[in-house]
Amino acid sequence: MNFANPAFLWAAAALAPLVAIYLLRVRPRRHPTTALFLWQSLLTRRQTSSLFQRLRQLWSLLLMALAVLALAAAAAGPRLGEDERRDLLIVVDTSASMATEAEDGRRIDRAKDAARDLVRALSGEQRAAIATLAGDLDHVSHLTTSRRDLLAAIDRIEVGTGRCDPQRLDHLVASDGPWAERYRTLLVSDGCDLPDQLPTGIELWPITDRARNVGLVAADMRRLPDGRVALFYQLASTHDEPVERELQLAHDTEAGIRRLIPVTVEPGVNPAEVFHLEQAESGAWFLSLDRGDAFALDDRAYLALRPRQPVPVRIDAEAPYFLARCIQAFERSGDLVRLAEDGAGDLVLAHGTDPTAPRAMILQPSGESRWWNSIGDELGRVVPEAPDRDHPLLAHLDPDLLPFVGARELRAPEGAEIVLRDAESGVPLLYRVRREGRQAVVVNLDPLAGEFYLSTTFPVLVHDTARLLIGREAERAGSHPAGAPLVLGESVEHLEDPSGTRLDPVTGLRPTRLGHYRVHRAGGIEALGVSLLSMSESTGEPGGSEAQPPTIERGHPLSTWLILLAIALLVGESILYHRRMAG
Amino acid sequence: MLTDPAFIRRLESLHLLARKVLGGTLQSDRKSVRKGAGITFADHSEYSPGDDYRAIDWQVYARFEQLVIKLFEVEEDLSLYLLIDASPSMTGKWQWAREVAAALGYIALHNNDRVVLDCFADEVRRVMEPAHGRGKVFPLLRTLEDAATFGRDTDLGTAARAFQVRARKRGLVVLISDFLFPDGAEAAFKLLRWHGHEVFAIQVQDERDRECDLRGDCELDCVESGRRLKVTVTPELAERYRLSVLELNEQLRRSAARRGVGLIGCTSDQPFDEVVRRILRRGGLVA
Repeated sequence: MNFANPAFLWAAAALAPLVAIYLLRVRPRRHPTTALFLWQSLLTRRQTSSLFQRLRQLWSLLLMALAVLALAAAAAGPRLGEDERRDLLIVVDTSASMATEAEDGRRIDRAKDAARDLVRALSGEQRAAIATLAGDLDHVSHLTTSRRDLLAAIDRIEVGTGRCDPQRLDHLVASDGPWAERYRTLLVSDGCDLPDQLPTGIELWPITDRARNVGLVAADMRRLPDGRVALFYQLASTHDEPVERELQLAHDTEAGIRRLIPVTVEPGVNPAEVFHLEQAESGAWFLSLDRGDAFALDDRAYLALRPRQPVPVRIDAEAPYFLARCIQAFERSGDLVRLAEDGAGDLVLAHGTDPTAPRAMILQPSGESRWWNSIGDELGRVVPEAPDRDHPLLAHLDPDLLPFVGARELRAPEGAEIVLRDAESGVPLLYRVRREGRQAVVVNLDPLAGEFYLSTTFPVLVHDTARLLIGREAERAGSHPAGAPLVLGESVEHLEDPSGTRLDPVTGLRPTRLGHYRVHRAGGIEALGVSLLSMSESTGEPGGSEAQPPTIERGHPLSTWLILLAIALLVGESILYHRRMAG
Repeated sequence: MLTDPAFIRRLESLHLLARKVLGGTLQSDRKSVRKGAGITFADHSEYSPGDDYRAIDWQVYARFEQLVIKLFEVEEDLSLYLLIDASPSMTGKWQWAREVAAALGYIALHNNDRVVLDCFADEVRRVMEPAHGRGKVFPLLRTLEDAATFGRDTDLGTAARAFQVRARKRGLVVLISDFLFPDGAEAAFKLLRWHGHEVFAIQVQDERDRECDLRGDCELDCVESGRRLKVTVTPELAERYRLSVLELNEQLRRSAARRGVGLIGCTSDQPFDEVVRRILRRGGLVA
């Protein structure tokens, strides 16, 4: 133990005059009586006074002396422990996992209680600051000695939807000499998503429990080229045994259930599943687990299904009529492509020409062009081979179903992205090229010879080519992870969060509130779903469960207890004094 | 002051009341059992040479030819012994005691009774020798005025014995005291009654004798013995003291009843003349 203000211990010297005053003043009043014998007879009938009664004066002096010593010690600021670091940074993990409800309350509430204990244990000269960590490190109070301000800051802490990233604390504990030597950093966290080794200088104050959780760690909803909608989801469980659940898919409102999907969730992260819907309206969708558990934030995913946007295609061909009619035919039967009007179009469909448009799909390459180096003879039988099966152009296509009739020997320009090639000759059959700010996908086949124009793969290839060249394969996911930066592209006027609050500017926004947002564009309003979708938050076991809290004073400081003791002693002495005076 | 004219007027009014109520005397059995030259026939006795021949009952001689003399009752003077407790415990009641004694002595002297004034504490002091007549009123009052408390511990029994040594004649003994004696008053009553005195006790106490308003730690200082006692007075203990005083007074009453002693209890805040009037209206100082 050491003392912050040892000079106050000299206050104990007040004992000397106290004893003197006590001995001089504490004398009973003298009162004359005419019947002392009666008093004597009364007192002899009673029990002989106890030791306490006889020594009552001495007890009073003892209580007063102890009270003086306790006050002197309290003023001296006693401290347990030898840590000389005076200032404290208390970082409270406010990531999504801290919302987990355990038997003894929410983790965030227990973390706040732990923080309050630490604040109360501060001595009068010790400073502390409070910060929260969920994605970013936010200081909710400055470095101060005021316990009231610190406790008020702790009261304002709310759990968020971000991740706990301890790397954010690096700059605090880096060898920026003064900090590590002067300040002690305590991270009050459940340890989910924390590395085994925290950055040097950060001490973990673990918030542990055995809460079990089943949650959605991934979800997406997209329209397929064939008109169906694919629902993609992935579940995770921290239970020790498989659990049965039911996923509820609802549209527009939570009550508008469209599908019930029974699932068996195995312990750990389960493989992703895809569920297809024949028809699905655009707008807001809800994917929810039927049963709540300790961690509710991952029980629901907020999805948004955008309306189909056909790709406007412009024809640039020597004989454009037939090609145009094919496009129009597919336009009437589907919503993948449409014939562009007034010469505008996201994609130019070229046949027998060398297009100069920014984005072009060139069928049956011939002649000289910047898009190929040489054209040779027609190939015979072609066996397509995909160097990269995950290429976006092959997402909805089966290479074996593409009729590469009329493919010719050619060499793709250097740097071309080969999607399909002949397995024997290596001649590129389908590739992407970038030149001088323009892009083109070259399809090495004769569309008439193979009746490719009439194939259902034709509009799919055109659509996917347009998306690839425009950048739509990076189209917004059906649900956006909370806390991740939002990229909405151009033409967004503003965003509304689930409560209707307008959010401006949109660029660089990291939405944290879960729910459906409204994206206001010039052309209309569309839904945007923001969900937790965090593997680490849903599956992270409370880390440091075997770790012990660091040694630090908690609760009320020793001086507070000494003051209370002194008050109790003075109350005792007051009682004895009252007894002496009033009987 | 006891010689104050106003005080004396009060005494006079008491005397007048006494005359009216008791016929001018402090009623007592003044008939002596001794035979003498009175007017009330009491008995016959055989004539012996030297007896007063005028007392010979000639009618008896005529009948029985035997010389006998008549014996007559002698009405003696009342001896009023005022025995006042002058111990330190009477300090607060001393003035009152003297006023009562003055009143009784005044009445007795005006009726030509014999008054003796003694004060007792740890000894008996004859403050005034037997006195007769109105001429002794002022000396009595001055003597009472000059009298003071004295002594330390008081033992009523010892005082009674000492008193009896000097009190040759039977009379009416008026005891004025607070009667706060550890051994009680029965022995004294018994002694005085044995010696043929009529005894009347006037018990005077004040609030401080009967009640205890102290609380907490205090040191009780006995006004007579000087002994001290440390005590913590609680409400409970104060109540028990009060009950003890009541019990002590009850014992005094029973002792007085047993011994045929008249008793009147009063407090020093009651005017002395009111007390004397009570006595007189009761018919005097008789049990």
